[in-house]
Amino acid sequence: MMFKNNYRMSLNALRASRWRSFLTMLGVIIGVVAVVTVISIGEGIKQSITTEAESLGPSVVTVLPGPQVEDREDIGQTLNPFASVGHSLTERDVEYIQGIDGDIEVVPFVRGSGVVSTNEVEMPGAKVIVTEGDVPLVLNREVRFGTWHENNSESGRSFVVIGSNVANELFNELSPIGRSMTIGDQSFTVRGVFAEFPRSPLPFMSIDYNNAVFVSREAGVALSNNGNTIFQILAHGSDSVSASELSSSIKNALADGRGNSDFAVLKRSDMINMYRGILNVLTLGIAAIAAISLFVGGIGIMNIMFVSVSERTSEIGIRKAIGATNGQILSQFITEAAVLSLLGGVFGILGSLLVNYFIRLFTPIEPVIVPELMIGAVIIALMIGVIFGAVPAIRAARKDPIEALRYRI
Amino acid sequence: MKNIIELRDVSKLYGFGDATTVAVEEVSLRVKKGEFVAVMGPSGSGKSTLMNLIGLLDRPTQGTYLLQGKNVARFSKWRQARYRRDRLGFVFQSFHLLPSMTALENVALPLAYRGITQTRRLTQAGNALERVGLADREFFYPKQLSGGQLQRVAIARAIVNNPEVIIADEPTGNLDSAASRLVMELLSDLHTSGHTVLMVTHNPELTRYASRVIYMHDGVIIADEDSDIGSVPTLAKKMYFRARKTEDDDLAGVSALMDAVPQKDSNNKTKKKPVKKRRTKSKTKKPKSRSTSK
Repeated sequence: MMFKNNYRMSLNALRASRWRSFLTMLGVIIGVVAVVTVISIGEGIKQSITTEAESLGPSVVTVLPGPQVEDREDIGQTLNPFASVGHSLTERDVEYIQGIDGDIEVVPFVRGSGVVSTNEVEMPGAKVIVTEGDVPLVLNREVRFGTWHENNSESGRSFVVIGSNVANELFNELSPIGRSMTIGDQSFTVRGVFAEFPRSPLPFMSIDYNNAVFVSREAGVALSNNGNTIFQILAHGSDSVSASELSSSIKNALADGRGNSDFAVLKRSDMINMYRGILNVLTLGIAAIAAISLFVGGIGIMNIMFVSVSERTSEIGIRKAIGATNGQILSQFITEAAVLSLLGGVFGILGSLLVNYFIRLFTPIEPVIVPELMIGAVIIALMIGVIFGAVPAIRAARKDPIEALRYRI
Repeated sequence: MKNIIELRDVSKLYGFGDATTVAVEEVSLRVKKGEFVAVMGPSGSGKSTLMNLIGLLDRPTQGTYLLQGKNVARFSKWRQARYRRDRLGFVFQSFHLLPSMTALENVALPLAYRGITQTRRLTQAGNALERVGLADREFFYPKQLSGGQLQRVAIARAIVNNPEVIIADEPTGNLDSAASRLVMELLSDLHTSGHTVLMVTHNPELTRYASRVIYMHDGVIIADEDSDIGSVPTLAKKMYFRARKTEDDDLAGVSALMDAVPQKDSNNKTKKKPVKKRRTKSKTKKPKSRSTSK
């Protein structure tokens, strides 16, 4: 009852000084937009990484060099490119995995070097992956044009299968099949083009297969000049074996064969958790910085409430004279501050929806505002109003009624 | 009849040490239920402070204040606010309405602090406005109303909670004579209908509405007499003008102003009851001859 009155009164008071209320609200609006946008970008990246990881297929297990960290928070260490320096996977590891009973497709990825080009165009961003085995199966993506190379250097010519970006950049509108290209100083013929892989918003965290050139091991020996150093092994089990069964049997096989635990075996869910862990830390860090603007908005509310309280001294006097208790005056002004910042929070969410629309329009990132984020933003805005409105409201409540009545602006 | 208000040796001091000012000095006063008390006195005589003390807006430095037998001066701020809300109604010289609210909302405001639902609030406020003859001005904002109408709205606000005591601090101070008359008639109506009314005024003419007149000077009640309604009590009038005739007042030009006030000698039916003689007034000049008196 009292709250409803206070709410109505505060709307009236805010309406009475619209411009000032709006400018005060703007502080909160900007803060909420900043925080909500940062978190929604983080959430969007998380979701697209999940989609990307899910595109691998549920039964694919990834083996990476370097020790496995079981702690979910630190699992990102495994992904750190520097963490794998000094650790490596070798051809023998591939053999250990192939030695496991069951129908397991094992695909090692070796990083090749050399600039990818045709006679006309050069593509410095292209990554060369030297590999063998059924790559379309483990990457869960079909070769849309041409075929995958089973045996790559038939009749003395070396074949490659390329990602869709490479096809676009090197050959543009021409059909790439059968055309020749060079990697370093070696010449290759394009045999197939992969269907597009889901695009990762953070390409530095994983390989963008759309930019990859897949070379067979026989043809790629010269490209992988650091010998047999494998940066990733993908293993695809049969449908009857679950991913966790597969990963534990790979773990055992590698541990037995290598005699150490200098490797990491990750299921799809591990990968997703890993990326999420990293992103959570990143997002929270940036959101904390953005929250400073929310704090500044709160100070703006406090400031304007002080002004409002001293302007309305005479109103406070009148209200006290006709029987308002100190508590009622206090709650009136706190409600006013809370309504101010609550409206700021609501407009801030609307504003960040607008900002997100433009981010989707102009960048590859697709921010997502989950309902929890909206509710959280509203609650935090409300709390800011209550916290920063408290001191001015206390000052209002403590005013002496006689002096307040005598007060003239 | 029972005493609704009883002050026993109530004093109010402001400031500390050498800067101490005595606004009200050991005042004792009894007001019975249903009285209409006019409080007169020059500026700074402590009458507003006395009203603030009675209205529970201020606490006495010393003394006891019984409102309906309760020692309200000792109450917590919260309980005092409750008493102001339920038992006291205020009418101020400068109306003190909230400019952002309509007349109806202003009148309904005390009810809001009682937690009454809005519909009932507005109905009761409408009734109160009707009582002061402003039923057709419900949705006007204060800036759209004349001074007399504003004061009537303020009276409606004061009576909407049906308080026992109505405290009016110079209710006609900012009004012309026609508007003053209307406001005084209203206060008089409230008096007739059983409310206790305390009114501060500078205008001796208005004491004709009162059943009792108190005269204050330098924080002390120097005269207290019953008065027939409809007539101006002579003693209060005399005291009033004599006190005005001080050197200080002459310097301030007040006496010239007071001379201009027309005097009406009413049929001397008033009961004289001086409470206390003026204590120190060596400076008091002899009254000048009043040429204006009939």
